[in-house]
Formats: sequence, structure tokens, C-alpha cells
Amino acid sequence: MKRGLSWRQSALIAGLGVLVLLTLLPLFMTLVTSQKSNAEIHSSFWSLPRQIHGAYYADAWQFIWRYILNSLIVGAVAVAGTVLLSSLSGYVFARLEFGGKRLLFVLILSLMMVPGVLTLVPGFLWYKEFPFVGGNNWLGVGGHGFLDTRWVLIIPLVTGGQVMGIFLCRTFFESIPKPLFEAARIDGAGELRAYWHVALPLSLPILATVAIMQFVGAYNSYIWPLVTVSRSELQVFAVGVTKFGMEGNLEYGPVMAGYVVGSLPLVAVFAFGMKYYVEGLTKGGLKA
Amino acid sequence: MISGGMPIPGHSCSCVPRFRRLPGQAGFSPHCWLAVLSMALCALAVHGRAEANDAEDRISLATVNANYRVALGEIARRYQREHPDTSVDITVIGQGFETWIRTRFAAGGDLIPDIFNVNYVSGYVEQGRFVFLDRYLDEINPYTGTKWRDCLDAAMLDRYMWHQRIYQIPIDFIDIALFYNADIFDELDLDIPATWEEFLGHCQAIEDAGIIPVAMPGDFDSFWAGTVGWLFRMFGDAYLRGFVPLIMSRPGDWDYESERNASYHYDPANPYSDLRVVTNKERLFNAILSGRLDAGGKEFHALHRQLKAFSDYWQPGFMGTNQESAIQLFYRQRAAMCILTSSHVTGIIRDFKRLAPEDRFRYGVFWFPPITSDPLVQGPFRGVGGAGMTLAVTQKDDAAHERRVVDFLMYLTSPEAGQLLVDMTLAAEQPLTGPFVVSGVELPADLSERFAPFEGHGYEKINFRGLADEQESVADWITICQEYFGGRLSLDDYLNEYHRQMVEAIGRLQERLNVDLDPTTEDVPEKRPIHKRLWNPFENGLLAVLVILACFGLLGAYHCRRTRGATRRRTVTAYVLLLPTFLLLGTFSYFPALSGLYHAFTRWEEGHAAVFNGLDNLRKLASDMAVWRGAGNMGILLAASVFKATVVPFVAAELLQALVRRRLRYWFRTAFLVPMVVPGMVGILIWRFIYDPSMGMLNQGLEAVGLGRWTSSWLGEPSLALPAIIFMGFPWIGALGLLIYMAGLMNIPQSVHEAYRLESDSTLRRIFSIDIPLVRGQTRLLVILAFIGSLQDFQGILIMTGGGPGLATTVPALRMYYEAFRFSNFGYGSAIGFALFVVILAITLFNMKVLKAGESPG
Repeated sequence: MKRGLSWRQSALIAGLGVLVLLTLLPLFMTLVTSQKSNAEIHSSFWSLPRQIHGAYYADAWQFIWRYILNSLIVGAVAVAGTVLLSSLSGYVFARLEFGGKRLLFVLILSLMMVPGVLTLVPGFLWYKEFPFVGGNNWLGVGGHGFLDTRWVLIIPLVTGGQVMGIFLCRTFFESIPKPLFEAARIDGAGELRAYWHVALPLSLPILATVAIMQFVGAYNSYIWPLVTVSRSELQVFAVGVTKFGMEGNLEYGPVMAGYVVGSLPLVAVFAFGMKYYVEGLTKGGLKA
Repeated sequence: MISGGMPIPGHSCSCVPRFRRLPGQAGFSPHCWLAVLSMALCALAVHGRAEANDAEDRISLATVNANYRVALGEIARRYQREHPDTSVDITVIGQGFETWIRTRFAAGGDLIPDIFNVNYVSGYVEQGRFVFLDRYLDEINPYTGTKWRDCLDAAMLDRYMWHQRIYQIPIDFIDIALFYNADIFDELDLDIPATWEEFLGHCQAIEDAGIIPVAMPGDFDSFWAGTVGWLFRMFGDAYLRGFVPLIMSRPGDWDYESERNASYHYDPANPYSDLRVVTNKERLFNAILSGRLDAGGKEFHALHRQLKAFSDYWQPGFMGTNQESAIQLFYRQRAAMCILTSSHVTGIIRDFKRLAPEDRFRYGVFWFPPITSDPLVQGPFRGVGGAGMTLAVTQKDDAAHERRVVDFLMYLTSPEAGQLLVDMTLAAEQPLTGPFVVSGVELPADLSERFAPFEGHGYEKINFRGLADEQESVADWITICQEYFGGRLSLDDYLNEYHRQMVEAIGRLQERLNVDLDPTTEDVPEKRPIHKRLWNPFENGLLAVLVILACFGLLGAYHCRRTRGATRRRTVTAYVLLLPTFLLLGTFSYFPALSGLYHAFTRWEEGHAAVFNGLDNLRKLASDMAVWRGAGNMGILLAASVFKATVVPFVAAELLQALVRRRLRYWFRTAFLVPMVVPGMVGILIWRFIYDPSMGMLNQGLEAVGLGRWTSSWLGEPSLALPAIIFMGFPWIGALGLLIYMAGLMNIPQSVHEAYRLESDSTLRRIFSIDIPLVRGQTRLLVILAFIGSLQDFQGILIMTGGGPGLATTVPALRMYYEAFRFSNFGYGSAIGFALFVVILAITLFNMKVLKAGESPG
């Protein structure tokens, strides 16, 4: 009986090992290929690189740093805005009793039913024809609105991100024992101070979840920056990386190196906050 | 370039090789961008000139031809030496040239270069932004002592006129020809074929020897800017040039020139006979509408049959090959021939230096031999090339400056400067675009010999790729043409559809460019100001946002009035604190969503206010072949995505759960989550590399395990492309599904499993009767998420195949993207988005009402 079990366990491990191998092989080969010349890729695809081409990473960095920086800027501002608004409004919905609360909350939740395909086209034109911005008059004619600015990337991230954020924060704040807030109130603190001094410090884990979900979302977004930003000085990584290797004589090595370099921000984020992201994924699943 | 001015005859990208373009971008940048791109005024002001300049006048030249960088710098230096009061700035913008020029024009003034590569940016000649050079051409060029005109190629000048006036000066020439591997030809004892039929015989012999006869790029972009597109133009001209008399201008037409047209006689034997003939667009349109020129006619049939027969000798899956990979096939000697431009004559020399000596081969160039067996062919193939660099002088209302700029251009077209351009470019190991069209320039003997096959074949006069270069019709044509070449559309169906598309395109031109189909009047696109109706909140967004916010304010005011004291204070606080959230939501979430619902029922095009058109969009949707094919593909993708989102992660979760050692379970779980650190776009690009036909991991892997004959052009074969898209991400163990199932399985109480063990010892039976029912909630969630996610997702397809070949991998969301952002049909795009929204809503409601109700309580 015992032997049979261990046989089954080793088969299990072997099976899972194959699956892991298949899952990770493309990533591993990307790393390997980032150190090979075209001729080497062609002649000995599966072998390890014969020599280390540090220059490939230098080339890649040269091309890609601007896009990564832009993604980081957009991501950071969007995260800050989202965290602030989510926690503030989440706090209001969790802790304050007021007329119209249910209606407003349902209005926010109903936005989860609005798919991106419905708003992509009208959203694009609305940002373009936004009144009084980017040379537009009050009817939105004459200029380019928010297009080709960082705002066109940041605003929708904050606007959309807070919906999920409010939902997560509300649930979290509701779980904080009431006496904590009542103590603050007895001390004479207003709602804003209770939020700032009591709620925020307690809610760091859920805010980390919101922040990481938001950052990963921002870093991965592609279609929206593609259609709204045309100046390459402002373009983000996801769009910029697709242009790599399109120009000039194509060596695959530096392109792969660019993929690796571009993944580093997410590696850093997950190294620090995998736990929070996983939590966000599973909780966020309630979305539907 | 899309809905903008009708491209100038013989103008713009159709003549210029732009092989290394971005997928789905540069070539089809929607017209709206032109306005949009431009406005970066502030940034540009900073970006502008900073360095002090002592010189009295400054001439700026901007070009996309990076190969001339060194030589142009030297020419500028020499010119400045002779003219100390003038400085010359050369700017080379390799990538994003068009965007760069457009931002400069938007900024205006000195930021606009004085001279630039006009063949890459269309639309400005119509706006009168260039100096007409005719009067300068008859002046003496001080650098040659002869008339300026005499330094230049008369036929080429003729080709690049606008309304019979010259505004651009062609410098060099580019065309395509057949490059062949002379080693392979010798080995198979083949010589240069004299007729097309003999050529096809050669192809057969090469194929019999196990070598790809011709490497051909065939992806979407290549049909427009790559050599396969040029091949279509060449075949079009060979079969259709008999229609020139039908569509040429006649006395009374606005563009009629007696000097050019009256003396013309149709003469198939003389490839130059129609060089100077003026053709009239509206006569062409009328000929199509009246059916005298019919895509269903015998000429179109014959030319496509001929091309289809030729395509049998192209590498399999050519529709997944871009220009770059096609060249690689030729370089690696897997293909014996390749159609390349003249710039490769010198390009190959440079590229060969990088190859190991044993990998190099002898190559030669020959011109397309004439088709002799088909009476419908009008004559030998004519050239389809044109200028690689044509320079125009921008209008700046400063006569003295203009004269100096023209003087520099005269110097640039002198033999001295031309020779510098050739010699220094070659010395810098940069490719020469092709033969020079500036007189007095000597090429090295071996180069002249290789360039010779490109010259002297005349120029095409009539060809069809879409209609009149209108970009929407071009894209439509490429799609159905790929369908035909992929064997998914019969020749008759293809040509009938082609004809229908051309008629549709004429309608668009009538609407958008004011074409009135009367050849005697010149039609100028009207610049109508956008009229928005102030009372309509969907046109006046400010009003809409105010209404939404007023609702929020009224709700707050109402609840404040109902309460007193502390409660009222709390209510006020709550509404004030929620204001930022609702300000953003109202402005940027609710309004676009409502606007999308409204605009689905409008005709909404770039530069016009939306016009309500009832159900027109939905009717168009119902008969849109691309959308329906997309819906079919969508169905398959949906089914696959549900499988990938549920079965695969469930199995993985069960396997992990069955592991006895917890540490091992943790490590495996972490390993499965690792792909999360890869940005989504990088994941897609890695898979594109995996499918690469020559270097890709999949083909390499198959070869490594001895399954070499299974290798394929995965994204290029119509039947394989969709499965390849589905296969992406294999083995599909998604983080979300895995985590949710693991949590679900963990929540099943141990006692339940133990109780079941009394009944049966089979793990499999336990899984089916206990686990699956108990994680039904999770499954339902994942199914819904997969549905909603994959109905909307198109970025992977956009990057991998662009929806092609033909319509093989298109989906409705991708069509929405194309309609809106490539063709500026915002109303119709919104309608597709609306339809998808309705489907998603239906699924969500079905899930909420029916499935939840059916579930047992608790």
C-alpha cells in the first residue's frame, strides 16, 4: 500500500514537472536567446549561448528605457490616485450612514457591467473632444483634447481602477471593529481625521492589493495607449516594445533582451507583493 | 491618409518601399491622427532650435532615407563652405518620419523643414504648402551651367506632378526585379528565362529539386508596401492597360491637356506610349459604375488566375511571411529566388559580409519575362517603381529664402553632389536605393550592371489594389484577396465582392471628398466646420457632464433636506467626500458608456458631427461578411477559452492537491504563477517568435525531434492560423483559474472526502461526484470571466495576425478597432461595440437570473 502510494506520488510529480517545464520553457528560451546572434539562433537553437553579449542588453536598454520610464510614471500616478479615491470612498460607504447610499453604491457596481468594447471608441473621442483642454473650445472642437498627454493614460486608470478599489476597501473597512472608530469619534475626530488616522493605517494590506492590481493593469495596458498616444516620448512600454526590432537589420538577441528588461518592473512588484496580488485576483473574482 | 485627400497620382507610399513598418500602424494611421498628432506645440517649442546661429539664413532638409545620412552631411558642409552666409541642417528621421513632419507642420513657422522627403507624407500639396518649381526648372543651374531641368530625368519629373505642375524633384529610383541564387540555377542547369512560361518551368524544376522556388512576403502589410503588392500592380498593368483610352481625360475635362492626350495612341508595343497621358479619376469611377470596367471581367479573371498559378511556387504559408522573413529565406538558400527592390543590390553586399564565407552565394538579377501564351496580356511587364527620395520645397512666403533653398536643391542635383551621394553612401556601406536619376552621376561598373535589369521597361499606368488608393478599400481588398489566395473564396466570388467593394468605395469618395462623378469639374474636398447641436448632450459633452453631476448634487440636496442635525452633517460629509469619485465617474465612465449607446445609431466620421441614422449601422452589421466570419471565429475561440479557463486549471489544481508534500505543492504552485511577471504584451510577442517560420521555437523543436516535415508557417496558413492563436499560452495554466480552484478544493471539508471513501476508493469517481459539483460556483465564475474576457480581447490577434490571412482569425472586436481607428468610421465602430455589449449583458444576466436560481440554496 505504502509503495503504491509513493509510486503514484512520483508519477504525479513527474506530470506536474512536465507541465511546469512547458509553462516555463518559452520564458527560459527567451532568456537564452537574448544572448545569441541570429546565426547562432539558427544553427544551434537549443544550446546555451556560446558567449555573453552584454551589448545586447545595452542596445535593448537604449531603446526601451524611455518606454519603461513612461509606464512607471503613469503607473505610479495612477496607483496613488486610485488608492486615495478607493479608500476614501470605500470608507464613506462602509462607515457612514446617509440617504441615497444604496443607490450610489449600486451605480458604482453597475459600472462593472460596462465592458471596455462599448467605451473604447466613444471614450477615445471624448478624451479628444474634451472641452477647454488641449486647444479645444467649450464644444470640444479645434484641438486634440487629452490625446498625446500623460493624462489620457492616467485618468481612465484611476477612474476605472477605483470601482474595484472601492468595492474591496468597503468590504475591508466593514470588517474593522466599530469600537476603534467610536473611540476616535469620542476623542472629537471628524470623519476625515478618523479616515486618515484610523482607517488608512489599518488598511495597508488591502491598499497594497489595490495598488498592485492597478500597477500591473497599468503596465499591461496596450490598446488604449496605442490609440491615444502617438508621440513616442510619451509612449508606454507595452506599445513601445512592439516597435522593437521593426527598424533596421533585425537581430533577435537584443529584442529578446528588451523583453527581459521590460519584465523587470513586474518581477520587482511581484517579488514584493505576490501575496497581495493573489489576494486581489481571488477577491476580484467576485466582480462577476 | 485614410479619409483624407485622394492621394496624388503616382504618389506616396505605393511607390516607396517601406518594408519595416509597424504592424497595424504607420501605413494606415487613421486620418484623425493627422490633426491629433500634431498639437504638441509647447514641447516642440522647447524641442526646437536652441543653438545660436551666426549664419544669415538657415536651410533645413529632413529625410527618411537614413542611408544617405553621411553623404548629405558632407554635401551640406561643402555647400556651406561655398556659401558662408547660409547654414544647412540635415535631419534624418528613420522611424516615425510621417509623424514628425506632421507635428512640424502643426507647429508651423521655422519648424517646418524647407526641403523634405515628400513621398512619405501625403496631403500637403492639396493645401498649397509647397513651392511649384516649374519656373525654376528653366533657369540656369549655377552648378552645371545648363538649365536645371536638364540635370533631371524628364520622365520621372512627369510622373510626379500635381495638377500638371511640378513640386517635387526625384533624386533616385527604385523598382523590383527577380533576384536569383546563381549557384542553384547552375546546379539545376537553368538559365535566365526568356518568357513567363519558361520561368514557371524553372520554378517547377526548382521545386522538384526540393527547394522553394520563390520566397514571397504575403502578410497584410506586404500587400500594400511589400513586393507582393508591387507584383499585383505589375500584373494589373500588364492585363489592364488597354483601359487607358477609356479613362483618359477628354476635351472639356477639367484636367484635360491637349498637348498630352491628343497625340496619344494606344500602342502596346511601346511601353512609354502612355507615359504622359492624363487620366481622369471620375472617368475611372464612371467606367466602374457603368460596368465597362468590371472586376468580374475577363481581364481580372485572367490576371488573378495567372498570379494564383505563380503563387503555387511561393513558400507554403506565404501569407504569414513579412518582407524581412522572405529575404531570410533567400539568404539562407532555402528559396532560389526572391522579388526584391533595387536597394537590395547593394544591401545584399553588406548583408553577405555578415554571413560566414561558406554561407554566401553568387546571385544575379533579371527582369520579369513577358507572358506570351495569354492573348489578354497587353504587352511585356512594365516597371512599377518610382522615386525613392523626392524632395519638395515648402512654401514660406519669403522670396529670398525660397531662392536660397532652391539654390541648395540645385546644388544637390548637380553631378558633383550626386556623385558624393553615391560614393559616400557606398563607402559608408549603406545601400543605394537604386539607379540615380540625376544626370552625370557615375556608378561603379558592377553596380551599373546589376542595376541594368531594373531600367527601361516603362511605367505602369493602371492597376487596382482597392480603388484609387483609398485606404479602406485597399484594406478590404487585401482581406478578400488573401481569402482567395488561401483557397477560401472562389475566383468568381472574390471578383464579384471586389467589384462591390469598389462601388462602395466610390460612394465613400462621393461623400467624403465631394467627388461628383462629373469629369469636367474639379472636385475639392470641402472643409466644413463641425456643427454641434448645443441641446444634444451627446454632441455637447459639457452639457452631459453637467447633467450627470447635477443629478448627483440633487440627490445629495434631497437627502440633506430630509434630515436634521448630526445626520444632516453626516450626509453632507458623505456627499462631499464622494464628490471626487463621482466627478471622475460621471465625466469619464458614465458619459462614454451612454455616448457609446447613442452613437451606435449614428453616422460619425472624422471631422463631422455625428448624424443619427437609425438602424443603418445594425443593418450594415447584419450583412458585414467580416463581422460574421469574425463571429464564427469568436465562437471557436470562446469554446476554447472556456476549456482553457476551467478544465486545465482544474486538473492542475487537482494534481497539486493530490501532492502529499506541502512544500512541493507550494513550489509547484509558485512555478505556475511565474508567467505572471511577464508583461502581457511580451507574452504575446514571445509567442509570435515561437511561431516564426524560420527561427521560431516550434519549428526548431519539431526539427529537433525529427518531425521536420510537420514544420509550417503557423500564422500564414489560413487553416492553421486560428488553431495557432488558440494554442498560444500552452499549457494554459492560468494563475486566476489555478488559484480559485485551489482555494475551492481546499474549502471542501476533509470529512466529506472521508465519508465518500467509505463508498468508493476511486479518486476519479470522487472528483466527479464530489469535487466538481462542489466547485461549481468557481467554475461558473471562471466561465463568465472567460466569456466576457475573450469577447473583448483582440490585442493578441492584432499583434499575431492582424486578423489574417484574409479573415481567418478576425473577431468582431478587432473589426471594431479597424473600423474606428483605421477607417475613422466611429459610428459603425460604436455599433459593433454596442452589439458586443448586448451579448455580454445577455450572458451576465443569464448567469445571474437563470444559473443562480437553478443553484441549490446555500
